[in-house]
Amino acid sequence: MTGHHVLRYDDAEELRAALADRPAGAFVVLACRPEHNALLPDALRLARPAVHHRPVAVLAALRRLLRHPARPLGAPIWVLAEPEVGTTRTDLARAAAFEAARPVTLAGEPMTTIAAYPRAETPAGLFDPPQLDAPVPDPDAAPVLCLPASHDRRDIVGIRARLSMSLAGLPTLVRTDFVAAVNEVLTNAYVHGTPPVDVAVWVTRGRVECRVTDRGPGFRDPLAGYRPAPGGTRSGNGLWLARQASDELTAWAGPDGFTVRLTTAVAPGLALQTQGALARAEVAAARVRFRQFGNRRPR
Amino acid sequence: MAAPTFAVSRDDVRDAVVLALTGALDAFTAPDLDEAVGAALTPGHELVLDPRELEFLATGGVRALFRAAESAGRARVAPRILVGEAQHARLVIDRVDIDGRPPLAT
Repeated sequence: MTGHHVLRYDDAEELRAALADRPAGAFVVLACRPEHNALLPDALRLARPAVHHRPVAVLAALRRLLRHPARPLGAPIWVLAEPEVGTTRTDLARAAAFEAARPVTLAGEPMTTIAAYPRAETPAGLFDPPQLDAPVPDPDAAPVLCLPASHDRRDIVGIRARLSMSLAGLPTLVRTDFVAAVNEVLTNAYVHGTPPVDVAVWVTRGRVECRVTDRGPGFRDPLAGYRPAPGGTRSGNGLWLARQASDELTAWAGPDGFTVRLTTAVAPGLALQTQGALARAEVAAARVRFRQFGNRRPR
Repeated sequence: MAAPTFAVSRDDVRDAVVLALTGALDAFTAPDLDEAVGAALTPGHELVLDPRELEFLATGGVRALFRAAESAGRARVAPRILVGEAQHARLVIDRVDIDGRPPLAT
């Protein structure tokens, strides 16, 4: 068995059987519940991937396994994972995007992945094909930052600075990630879209949100940004990074143009944290998690 | 909060040319790096790119770093990009996940 598969299982023996087909010398990675991570003693064990949080961060982490120092040179990789799919409709949409993108993102790599879900707990809709995003109404609150009608790409420097200022109360990692994500979307708007470009930012108790609108047609691929661009020095990695650095990226074409909406959850307590030792510790901890299986929401 | 501008400072040390980068390196400032790299390529000297003091690095900047390494390779100049394990630049480079590993060094 090679490629990228879904296994809906009833008991652990089916997980064990799925690994039996692996070729000799395969580098096996288990990212399952603790009791299932013990199925193969010599496998690399990782935490379950939180695909309901940042699915592209998980996909990127899977790709990085190709360069894992424990992987013998040239060894095929076999990954058996039990993804966490969350509980809300938003969680399910992100998990479904992960499942739709996984075979595309990892196509052509010397890697077999098996996403295992308990048959009795697999939510309906998890394997539905991806859809184009529907427009989302603006938040009820007034935006904290509103920068309409930019015609000049040189504005991006000032927009980044003002965005960062408007997020000054957030933890460093949340702020820098969000600014990085917005920057990539803005860059796309100037380079591939049609000015003028509008930017609006909301910071609510639980979430930060930014919308970037330009007058171009935008993209129509629901999996845009779910895979890195081929060839390192070409453009096309902006959305790939933006999806890793924010919780959610949705986009739609409407009467005002093409809008990209980025959101990241902010736990209420986190908004009270300030820069300094706490933020540095948070960054260090997040990087450890990131190296394993995607960066999860800071707690 | 002042917006960081991109700047390159050059230091010639023995067998290497070191380009220290500060400010913001993105798709719009990347041509400045391309130009600085073009002027710095010296046969027989290593090219060291130091992005550790960058305040902001975007995917356009990562591409520029890798373009610089490729230019150096074509000119038979050994390139190195200095990034610490726990630095923001390293996180961005890892996320971009460019095919073929660049010559990263700590």
